[in-house]
Amino acid sequence: MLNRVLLAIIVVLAGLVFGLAGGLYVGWRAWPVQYHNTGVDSLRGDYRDDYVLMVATAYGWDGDLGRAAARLRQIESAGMPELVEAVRDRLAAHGGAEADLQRLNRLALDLRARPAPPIETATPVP
Amino acid sequence: MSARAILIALCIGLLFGLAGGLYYSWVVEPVRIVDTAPDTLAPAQYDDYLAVVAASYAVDQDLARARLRLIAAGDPNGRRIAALAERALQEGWDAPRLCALAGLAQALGQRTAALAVCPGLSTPTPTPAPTGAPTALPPSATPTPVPSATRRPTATATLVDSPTPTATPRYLFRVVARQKVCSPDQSAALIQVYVQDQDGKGIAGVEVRVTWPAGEDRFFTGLKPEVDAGYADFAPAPQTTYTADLPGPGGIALSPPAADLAPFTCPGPSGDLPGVWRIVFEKLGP
Repeated sequence: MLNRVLLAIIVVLAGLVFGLAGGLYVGWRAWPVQYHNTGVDSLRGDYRDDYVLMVATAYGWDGDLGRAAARLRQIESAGMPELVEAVRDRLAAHGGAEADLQRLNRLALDLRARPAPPIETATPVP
Repeated sequence: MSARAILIALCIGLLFGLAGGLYYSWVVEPVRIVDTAPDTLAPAQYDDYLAVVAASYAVDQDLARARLRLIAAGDPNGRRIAALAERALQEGWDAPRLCALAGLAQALGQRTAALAVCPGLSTPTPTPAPTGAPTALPPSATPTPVPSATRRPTATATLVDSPTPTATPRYLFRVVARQKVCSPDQSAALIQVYVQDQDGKGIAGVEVRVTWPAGEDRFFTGLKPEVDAGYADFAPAPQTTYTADLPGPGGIALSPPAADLAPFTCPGPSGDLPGVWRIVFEKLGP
């Protein structure tokens, strides 16, 4: 009786191991994950920093703070000025061009000076 | 234990293993997509990414940088930029964004109908592939010397920085001189702008834009004809770095920017003197 129970446990454990191994093989080798339809917030750090720099450059060009904010909101909705300043600081630490630093600085300043968006209120129902 | 019982136990093990794996991967530690590249962006965000690349190129005119960004976005030849420009034209995007896309597509050797609606871009010129210094002229194109006879007393000016001329077919003007000038009789910092034709003759009435982190100013050449018909100047604030260019209608710049005009001083007999930036824009073509 004991031998049967032990054998059953061993077989079940073997099934677990084979199931796990099969799943890992399928997930990692045979049919690995392919990313698509991702967001800007999932970009690798250097791509994300470069995106923020491009947003700042584009803002210096078109002066559309709303558009710049909408783009940055995809990455960070709460602390956009801090996000831009952090990129500026990283760029400065890596010897970034002065013009790029100024673009980032200007965007950060303008984001800080931007009035808070209006709070949406529900329309009272008569 | 019969073979049937073993098979059942094995299946139970497999099922529990699968269920456990799914629970772990979906609930306990679901997939978080991180460290992706721009070519995986969702279509709307991808288009906006391309638009931002084009807008950045419109500002810095750094084609090598734009190309690197497009390589990361899976569009090394600019075909998607050109396609987006076509779509932007059909969808009625505003002119600056549309023309930024068209300009970048053109710089990458792509032709698009959107060029027809962009002033300064309507006569596409084949652009060779960039080779590291995409905006620099060939070595034979030396900066045009600025005549000093009719200008401010800079006869003793000292050139302390070799200008790098830049030219891009999409513009009407190019920067042929970006010089730091030291003059013993200079009492205040100054940004001097000269706009001239290909013969070196000053062009009056050209709008000049000077930008800095906190704002911008615009003025016209020709208000000091005693200096030169194409002359204008700007008194910079201390510790502020400026960029000068020639803005055109509809937000399309007529020239690449002369950037990083930071204040500097020159050694004088009795202390440091303020330095002068001299920027010369030359018109491309007649």
